[in-house]
Amino acid sequence: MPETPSQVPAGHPFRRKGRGTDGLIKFFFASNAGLTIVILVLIIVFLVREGAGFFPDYRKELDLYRKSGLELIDIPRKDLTAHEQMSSLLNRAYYAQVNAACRTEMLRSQEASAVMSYLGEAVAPAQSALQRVTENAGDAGVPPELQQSLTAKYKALVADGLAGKFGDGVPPTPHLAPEERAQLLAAFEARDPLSSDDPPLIAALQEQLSAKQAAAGEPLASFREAIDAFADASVNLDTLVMETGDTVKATKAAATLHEIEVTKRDTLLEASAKAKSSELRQQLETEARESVTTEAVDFATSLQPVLDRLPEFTAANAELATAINDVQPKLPAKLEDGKADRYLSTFRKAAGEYTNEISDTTAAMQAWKYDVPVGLGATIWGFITGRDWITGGEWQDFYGIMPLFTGSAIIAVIALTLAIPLGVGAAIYTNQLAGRRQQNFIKPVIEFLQAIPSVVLGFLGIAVLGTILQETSMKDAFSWVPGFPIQQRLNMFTAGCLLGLMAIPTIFSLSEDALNNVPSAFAEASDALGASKLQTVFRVICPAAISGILAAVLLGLGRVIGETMVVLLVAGNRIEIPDFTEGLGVFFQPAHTLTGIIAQELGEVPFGSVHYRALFVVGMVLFIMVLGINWTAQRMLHKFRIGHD
Amino acid sequence: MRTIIRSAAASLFAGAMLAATAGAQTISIKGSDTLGAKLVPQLSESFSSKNKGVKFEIAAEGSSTAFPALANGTAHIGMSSRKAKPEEITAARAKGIKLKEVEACHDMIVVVVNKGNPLKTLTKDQVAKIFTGQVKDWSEVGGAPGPISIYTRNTSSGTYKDWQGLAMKGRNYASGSQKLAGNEQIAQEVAKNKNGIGYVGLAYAKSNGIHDVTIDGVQPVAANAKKYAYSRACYYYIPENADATAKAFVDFAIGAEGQKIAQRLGFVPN
Repeated sequence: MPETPSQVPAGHPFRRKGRGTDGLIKFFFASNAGLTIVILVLIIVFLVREGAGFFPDYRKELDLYRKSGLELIDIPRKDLTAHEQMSSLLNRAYYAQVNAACRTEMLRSQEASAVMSYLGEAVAPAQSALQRVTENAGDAGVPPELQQSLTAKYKALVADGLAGKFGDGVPPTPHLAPEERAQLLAAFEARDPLSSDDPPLIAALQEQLSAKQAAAGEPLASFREAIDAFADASVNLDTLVMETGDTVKATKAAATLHEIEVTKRDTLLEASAKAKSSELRQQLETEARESVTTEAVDFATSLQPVLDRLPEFTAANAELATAINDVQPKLPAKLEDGKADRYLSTFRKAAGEYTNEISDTTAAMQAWKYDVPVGLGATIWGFITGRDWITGGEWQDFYGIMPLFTGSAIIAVIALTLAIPLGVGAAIYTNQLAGRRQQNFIKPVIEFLQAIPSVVLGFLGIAVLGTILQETSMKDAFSWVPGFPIQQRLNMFTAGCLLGLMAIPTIFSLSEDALNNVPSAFAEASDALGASKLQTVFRVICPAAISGILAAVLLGLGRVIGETMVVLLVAGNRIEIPDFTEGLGVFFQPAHTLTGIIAQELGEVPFGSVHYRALFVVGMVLFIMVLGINWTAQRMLHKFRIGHD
Repeated sequence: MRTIIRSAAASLFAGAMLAATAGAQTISIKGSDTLGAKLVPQLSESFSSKNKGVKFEIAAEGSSTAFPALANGTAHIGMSSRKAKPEEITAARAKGIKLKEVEACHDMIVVVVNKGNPLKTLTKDQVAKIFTGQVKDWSEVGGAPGPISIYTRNTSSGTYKDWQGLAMKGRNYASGSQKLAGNEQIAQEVAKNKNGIGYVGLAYAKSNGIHDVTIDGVQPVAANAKKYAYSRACYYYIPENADATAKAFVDFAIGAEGQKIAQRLGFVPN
């Protein structure tokens, strides 16, 4: 392409160096754009390169997991876990019933302890100072004036505490008689400053509680027996799993050790090739020669003792099947306490599923083969649909992103539920209904929200929002809300609220732009037909801008999915698929997210390890998700654009 | 002539560098949060009050961060609440760094529950069952009814791994456990959640809002270090060819004075 002659008039400073100057300027900007694209490509290449190595490595790990027999033991281990869950349900039912019967005694004991711990905290500063001084005094004893001043301080604190001047005041004790309360306070007042013994009343109350519990347990004795029998049924399987587990773990350890030694030799040889002095080189070479001390593991031989015990596994499995059949008729038909009865009916419902699960174990164990290679496809599929993200364990690491994905998704849903009505509503109001002065106020204020650093919002979430939500949820008036009272201060709801706050400015600005872009002819035509202002807004302008608004929402979603700091600080970091059986209460559970796991674990994993690469793959998944969202947003903007062409 | 000028310039430059480093020497210490949050900062303070001009950089982000930092030469001393793994030692060795292991002090991992929890004692078996998720409700171990919320350290922590070995026979943590970054955070969350349970180093067991739990009848106090089920040694790792100040600091830390500081902070001296 021939160079076009410069448009710059003669004599202009750009002209001074001839035609080259504006060419240079053009080159400068073109190279900037080019550089940006190159950097972007480099980032993608880096991500793919670091991540792509994950699947072969993970496959190798899974292969070792299979070959050394861990996979085989995991089959009965699942049954064991299921059995534990079932026993736990029965136990919870039993204790709920017993405790319901001794509610008063329990409250009395708790109230008394609460009073003591309140008083203990009130005097703690002086008491610990006294203790420290006495401990460090040695033979000379504590200087009398120090002793005196500290004791005086202690006495003052005792008086303040008894008068309820510390913190929220002495906790109320509605279930204790006034004289009991007085007795408690008196015992505390008379207590030696150095002692932290509880008054005898506390022990007495505890005893009353235990007696009452024992009495409440009496009519349930046969239930208790049935529970214990059921719980004990797993003893044989437990020992078997423990013993064979040790064997296969040893196999895996030996195989890993051998591999480490081989790698060590290779690394040392590599280092010696690069070593600067001949002395160091020789030293490294000697070390390399000595580093391989073990032989490669023969998996078939080391697995044989485990396979030999398969009949024992079958027997132990049969015991579980008998136990679940035996326990069912022995369970009480109904428990008086509502909660206890719920646990019991959950047990009954789960029993069928449990029986199914243990019935196919033996067949699965017999059909299991150690030498079937793990496919790459299965590895990838396992990563995408895996329900466990277990790292740093001694048994086996699993990388499954399902729990992280659900965490991210639920938080995004909460955030968008909050941000869409607020962001779009505010945009409609500001653009269509508000006066100029209001517009000039609202727009910059909402956009300012975007300027708050996310880590500051995270602090706000921990210190203020989480605590307020938790405390509010304790109020009886809100007990009808599913999931209340909130157990965990850090949960998905708090995180979702904060992320919603962060998405509002994005959604607001872009929706506002979309509304602005609706040609004024639309509104004028509507006015001309005699429509009211609201009719024009909701029947004409909003439908015309809907593509832009949808794109705004999608970009808001992209922002929510990609945000890290807030979820890391506030979401509670529990790697588990939330329990959907709780209905709407699911929103108040803690969770971990795709972004959060990268931020939390990347700093701590050894460079180049499987775990490190797994985090890169998670990053790639995120990248693809956000890319998809943005692409859809762009498509939407273009496809449904009206009145522009 | 030219070579003389060059070598003179080089030696001048080297001298200047030496003088600069001697003027304000910085020792970088990385690794365990258990050691690095309270003990090492106090040790370093008392060390620099005696050795003017020595500055410390302390990053306590978990034991696993110590070894890569030592191997890359970005840390002079590593802190760890567990022993180094063979591959970690090899990785450092391959880069020409031989690590020396020094026992820092002993620490006890204390089980803590919310102040409002009436439960004062647990058995080892119960603790294992709680942290592996076999027991889900406080009433099952003799407490007031309520679902148990488990707080653990994150996976980089040496305490996380130690706990798995000491308390859970190597089994996996309950999937419902929440992973937190440090001892302080665990203490804070347990203090905020009346059904919470977690484990912290002995030095953190006296925080507000929580109380420790007696295990198998042994109270977690320094005097019981030998009897207590969950005690372990903590280590410093230092390259064999480390500079004199770093070595002097480690000697100070394991010497009488350093051990006294450790004891004051709730660690158990060697």
